[in-house]
Formats: sequence, structure tokens, C-alpha cells
Amino acid sequence: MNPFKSKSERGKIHELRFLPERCDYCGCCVAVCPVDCIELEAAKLTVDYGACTLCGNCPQACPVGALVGVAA
Amino acid sequence: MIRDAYDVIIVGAGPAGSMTARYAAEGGASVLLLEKDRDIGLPVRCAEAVGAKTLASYVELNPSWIAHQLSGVRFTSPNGITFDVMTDNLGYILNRRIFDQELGRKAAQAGATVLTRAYVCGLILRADQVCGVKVRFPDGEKEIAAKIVVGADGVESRVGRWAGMRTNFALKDFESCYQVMLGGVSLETNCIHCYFGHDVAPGGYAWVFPKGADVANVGLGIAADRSDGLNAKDYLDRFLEKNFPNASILACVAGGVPAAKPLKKIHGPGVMLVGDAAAHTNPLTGGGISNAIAAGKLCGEVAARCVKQGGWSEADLAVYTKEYDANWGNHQRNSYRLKEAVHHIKDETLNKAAHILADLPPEKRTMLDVFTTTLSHEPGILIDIMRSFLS
Ligand SMILES: Cc1cc2nc3c(=O)[nH]c(=O)nc-3n(C[C@H](O)[C@H](O)[C@H](O)COP(=O)(O)OP(=O)(O)OC[C@H]3O[C@@H](n4cnc5c(N)ncnc54)[C@H](O)[C@@H]3O)c2cc1C
Ligand code: SF4
Ligand code: SF4
Repeated sequence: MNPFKSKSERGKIHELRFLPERCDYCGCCVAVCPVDCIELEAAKLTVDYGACTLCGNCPQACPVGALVGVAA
Repeated sequence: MIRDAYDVIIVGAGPAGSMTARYAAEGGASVLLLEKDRDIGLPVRCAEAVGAKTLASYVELNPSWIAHQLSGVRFTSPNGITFDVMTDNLGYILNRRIFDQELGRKAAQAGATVLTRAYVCGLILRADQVCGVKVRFPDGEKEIAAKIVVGADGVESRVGRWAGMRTNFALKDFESCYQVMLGGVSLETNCIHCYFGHDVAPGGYAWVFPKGADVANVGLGIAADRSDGLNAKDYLDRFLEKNFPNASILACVAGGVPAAKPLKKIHGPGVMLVGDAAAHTNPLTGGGISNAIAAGKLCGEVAARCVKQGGWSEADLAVYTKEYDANWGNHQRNSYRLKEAVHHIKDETLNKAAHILADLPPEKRTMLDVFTTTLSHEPGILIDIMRSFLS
């Protein structure tokens, strides 16, 4: 189970963490990011943390818990 | 091998991109089709079910990519009541790796240049007009000019956003999915099997699609706003534990499906979007293969026509949004309304309806009998759900 996940992820988060070993490069996170700050090359994912607004969308959409929101 | 300029550049070689490339090339345009992965058709982020009718009207059927023939849908209610609805020649489970490759090959045959390991990392814009793409190859970056750029870049599409369109999805209109290919399972039916229920897949459903005698695509999708601390993989682990505790996992994959209303605009100055990139999926069933193919053909034809007529401004390309909407807009809007209704239906209501239907003798389970039975009880909505899955 995911140590960072909790119900309070719905909505704003305090910190965003990427766990590359879990990532399947499926693009769900990119699809729901309102500020387009995630780049997904074939098997390389980069988050522009400077542009991220910590909206909490991508941890909700990630099917495998590779992007996790640390609750405030 | 690659030129500095093409009439049409298509980003993404899924079914939507390959069909667009084929029809743009057949219409006389010079076409470049770019795919970031190293193989067209891999990885397969799909349960591979497709309706027979639409497929046959857009591509020549080929046994090399048909894995299994389907003759019905089996529904399982939240409390485990099961009933089948049978229809002849309902559809197929594809072998998408081969199917996608075949569509890519058809684009090449039509004259398009196809290239893999070509990641498009941005657009060339002049004023607001899209004039080409920036491509990252393994050995460096290159700018390539185009009159029209088509974003067929799937669910993770950014082409529209680079061109200033808002194409990101709201959580409630996005299904977060996880799927495994199971081996060593015994499946006695030629039905696709759908399971509903809040504990199974909140805001979505779980599927078991037979791919052969002992192989099946087994997965589920949940509405991204409903995950409540559990993600799609957690739900699937639970489902497998309950239904297939001893099966082997031959492949596993994560993925997402748009479950949205049609976008207001799928074109801009020098740019068009198609397939998942344009939310061209059925919001209720999550099916997107046939939509991608159909819209791809239209998109390619419009691109070729505009190149020929010498105009690719926003106004010139508006015909694409208009024709998509005229052909498929209402169907997508209806499916969206149904999806919204289904997501708010209570488990008990589904259980009650399933109970009524399960009492129908199998030979009376034609759509018409099911229809009249549910009408005389409620909720009639179940009928609409089934219709969606059977079309
Ligand atoms: C788990 C799951 C199960 C599904 N099951 C079914 C089903 O049973 N039946 C059905 O009809 N539909 C199903 N779908 C939906 C279906 O898979 C899609 O609708 C369909 O693949 C859409 O085709 P497309 O061509 O639009 O996009 P895709 O097939 O996703 O193709 C997009 C391509 O663009 C490439 N790309 C993306 N960005 C770039 C870039 N910047 N540069 C270059 N290339 C790029 C990608 O690598 C990809 O190859 C399912 C989806 C999922 C996730
Ligand atoms: S949604 Fe999750 S698994 Fe998919 S690409 Fe993003 S981080 Fe990776
Ligand atoms: S938290 Fe929101 S803004 Fe930040 S990367 Fe995820 S989706 Fe984008």
C-alpha cells in the first residue's frame, strides 16, 4: 500500500512526489494536469515542479500510485 | 530521408493517426506520421473489444488481427447476479499489436512516411498559426514545417494545448484503468463480461474479455474523482483475488480513457485533433477504437482537401469540427448523459433490475424482450446501458 495516500488527496496537496519504479508511462497524469507541467517521452517522465500548482489531480488519476500527493 | 517540410504532419501512430495519415496521403497530400514509441502497436493499452459493424465499414477485415469472435454481453450486478444478452456477430477481440501495425502499414502504402522513436516535443507557431513541429529523435532535435499538424497523440495529448486549446480532462470525466492479460483461465463463453458496483469499480466497471480459449483481458476503470485512497490497480488486485485467484498474469498495463462530452472545437489555425486526443471515446463504455478510425478517416480527408484548396486557417478547418459533430456528436452527448446517470445509480437499484432480468428465460433475452421487461418494471436505464454495450 501507498504510505503517502490518504483521502485528503482529493483537492490541494502539500507536496508532490514521483516514484519512478512504479510508473507505467501511461499518460493519465498528463491528461488531467490543468497547467500542462508534466512531460512524457516514451519511457521518461518529467514534472516541472516550478510550474506545478499542487492541485492534486495527477495523484487521483494515476492508476498505480506512481505520483503521490503528500497531504497538507 | 526526412524532408524539411510536409503538407500534413501527424503526431501519434495509433489507430486515429494511422487512418488520418492514410486518407491524407490518398487524397494527394505529402504526409509524415511520427510515433514516439519504438514500435507501432506496443504497448497495448486496450481491452481490444470492437463492434463488428463499424469496423467492417472502415477497414478490410483480416484474420491475422482478429483474436476472438463475440456473440454477446454478460452483465454482473453488484451482488453477483449474472445475465447474458446474446446477439449474432456482435464484434471481436482484436490483436491490437498487429491491428495497429497493419493500419500503419496501410498509411505507408498510401504514400505517407512513417517514423518511430520520433517524439514531438513542441509546435512551431507563427502568430497563432501552427506551422510545424519540433521533433526529438534519438540523435537530436529537428524542426519540420507543415501546413497542417494533426494531434493524434492519444489520451496524453499535448498538441492541442500547445496550440492554445484547453484539452485536459476534468477528473470526473476521466477513467483511470489497470488491466492484466490472464493465462490459464477457463472461460466457457463468447461473451464479453462486465461487472458493476461501487466496490468493484466506482464510477466505471470491470471487464473480462476472452481473447481465446484460456486467455482474457481482465481490467477495470474507475472515475478519477472517486478513487478514495485506492487506485485502479488496488481495485483490480481485489477483483483478481476474488474472481481469478490462481490465474497467471501474462501482461499488465496502466492506461486512461476520456469519458467526456464532445469538445466544442477539435480544430484551430493549422491544427486538428483526432481520436483520444479529441475525446473521441464513448463516455459510457470507454470504447474508442472505432471512433478513432472513423474520425481519423474524416480528419485525413479534410486535411487533403484543405491542402488541395490552398487554405488551412482556422476558418478553413472548421468543417472538420462541424462534420464530426454532425456524424457522431449526438451519440457521444447521449452516452455522456447515460454515463452521468449510471454513475449516480445506487447499487441496490442495479441489483433489483438484474434480479428481474435474470428471471427471463434465456431464449427470451433478445433486446426486445429485455426491453419490454425492464419497461414494465424500472429502471429503464439498464436498457440504455445494454444498448450502448451492444452497439
Ligand atoms: C485499459 C484500456 C482498455 C481499453 N479498452 C478498449 C476496448 O476494449 N475497446 C475500445 O474500442 N477501446 C478501448 N480503449 C480505448 C482505446 O484504446 C483508445 O480509444 C484508442 O487506442 C485511441 O486511439 P488513438 O489513436 O486516438 O490513440 P492511441 O492508440 O493512444 O495512440 C496515440 C499514439 O500517440 C503516440 N504519442 C503520444 N504523444 C506523442 C508525441 N508527443 N510524439 C509522438 N507520438 C506521440 C503514443 O505513443 C501512441 O502510440 C481502452 C483504453 C484503455 C486505457
Ligand atoms: S499516471 Fe502514473 S503511471 Fe501513468 S505516466 Fe503518470 S505517473 Fe506514470
Ligand atoms: S499536482 Fe496538479 S499541477 Fe501538479 S503536476 Fe499534478 S496535475 Fe499538474
